[in-house]
Amino acid sequence: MFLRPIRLRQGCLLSLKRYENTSAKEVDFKTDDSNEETLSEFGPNIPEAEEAMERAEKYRNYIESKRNVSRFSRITAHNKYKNTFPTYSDPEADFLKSDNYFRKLYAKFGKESGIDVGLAWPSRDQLQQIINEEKEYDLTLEQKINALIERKSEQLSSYEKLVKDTDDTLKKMPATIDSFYQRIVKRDKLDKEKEAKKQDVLDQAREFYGYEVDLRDPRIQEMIKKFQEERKVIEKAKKKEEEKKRAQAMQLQQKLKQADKILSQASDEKNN
Amino acid sequence: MASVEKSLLMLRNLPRVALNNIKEFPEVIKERKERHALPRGKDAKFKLGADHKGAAQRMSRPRLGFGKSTPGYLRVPKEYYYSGHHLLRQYLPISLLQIQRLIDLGRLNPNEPIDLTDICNTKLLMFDPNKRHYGFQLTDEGADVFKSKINIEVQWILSELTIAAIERNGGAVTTKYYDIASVHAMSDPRKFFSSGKPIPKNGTPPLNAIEYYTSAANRGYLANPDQIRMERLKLAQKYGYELPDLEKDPLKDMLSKRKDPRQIWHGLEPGWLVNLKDEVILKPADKEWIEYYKS
Repeated sequence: MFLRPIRLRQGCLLSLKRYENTSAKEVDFKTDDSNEETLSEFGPNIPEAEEAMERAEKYRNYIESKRNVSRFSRITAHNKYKNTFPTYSDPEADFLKSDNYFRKLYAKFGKESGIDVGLAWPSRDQLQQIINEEKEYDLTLEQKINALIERKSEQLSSYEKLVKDTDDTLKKMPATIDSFYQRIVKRDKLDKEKEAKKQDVLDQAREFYGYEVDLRDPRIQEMIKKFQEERKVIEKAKKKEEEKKRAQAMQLQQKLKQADKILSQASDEKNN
Repeated sequence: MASVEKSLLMLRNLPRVALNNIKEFPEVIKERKERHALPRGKDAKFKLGADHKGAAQRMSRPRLGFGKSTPGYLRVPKEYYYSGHHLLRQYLPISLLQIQRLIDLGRLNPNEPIDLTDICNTKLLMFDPNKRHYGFQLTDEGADVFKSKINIEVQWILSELTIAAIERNGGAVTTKYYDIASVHAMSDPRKFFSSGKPIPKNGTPPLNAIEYYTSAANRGYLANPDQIRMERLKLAQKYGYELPDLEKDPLKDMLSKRKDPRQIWHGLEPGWLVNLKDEVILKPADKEWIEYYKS
């Protein structure tokens, strides 16, 4: 009932070699033709008895099929229970194409299974692939240790650099503190000057208008404009005066020069 | 005045006013009844509890924190310090006390080197490589009770007291890294042999564990043996005990037994195939395979 034709991968089962010459479809995995013949010799030769036996077996099978309520595959359940070498209802099942299945089978049944043991190790191509992958993605122990040493030395050098930098900056510390306070003093001075200027403008405005004016008031700007114009007028007048004075001075100089010339001419004539 | 006299007379004869004989006015009682004992069913003026129709009636209101407000997973700040936490290697803790107890109960044999497989074979610890358990870490609990001389190999030790407790008794410790495939094989050898695969070659430790396994203070398997000897002496001086002489020890061979960095079981080498049915060991004969499993 459980024995069905089987088709397996080449090289997986040595036992298949025994049936190479026979037709593949009719072959059962475990049956032996010679055994059957011997059985028929000693079996009952009466046709009625044979029929009765067949009928009895049919009935027994029918009862068994009714009793078996489990939804397991009957073949696998039977094999598992009996721990016998498995037979396959579907010889093209996916698990029959994997190496791992036959490795497990060899581990379970040993040499009796007839499986080539070389299957346990990766094939030549697979091994080459594994080695190539290791080379590409994995680091060797030496490389890892070198990376560790590099990282450690980097850490040490960065620490040393930190120590050196802090030493250098500590040496410069008095000068930097000095410059810091100087900067503060300078800033304060500038602030004070600014405020004094503001106060000056406000004082001017109070004097000009006779009452206190806000700094943001447009009247302040007017006042400043006025002062500037006045200053401009004064400056212009000053400039004119200066120019006048300069022109006068120039005239005087020219006159002096002429006088000198005349004097020198007169002295020359005398000498001659 | 008759009513006043009557009430005074009543007061004189009636018992004292107390909580047991006073009552609210009937109007108040009626009001309260109306307010609290609401009519149910068809007499009810409005629905009590869950409303008619909607999420409340169908009990499909969002879970706590997921109504109109911001969901809980957005309100709780992210915990960045857990990033990559699920990828860390886990080391199942086992204390010196536990080891001592296992030895006393005959579950561990102190006359043979103890490693991951021996501890797993006691079947008392919940060791599961699928939960990223990379081995055992030996803790210092019961260090002062520890009394056996063993050669033990664990994957992680954090306290030097553990090392001191073992070495004071004349034992030896090593910390060794196994990659996850090797741990799978070592945690259940019978299962591994039934898979029909050759014994795997142990990998090298990852970059973040190289420092640990190359340092002699941790008794790492990649450390220099001379440095380990020095560290043994240092630790003995630090903790104030005399280091027993290994040379004169009758168990010297057992105590000085160490595995190859690529090896995972004593007496078995990577690349060999163990068949439990035939009770044989099969070895690869080809040069390429031998070289691959050696390196």
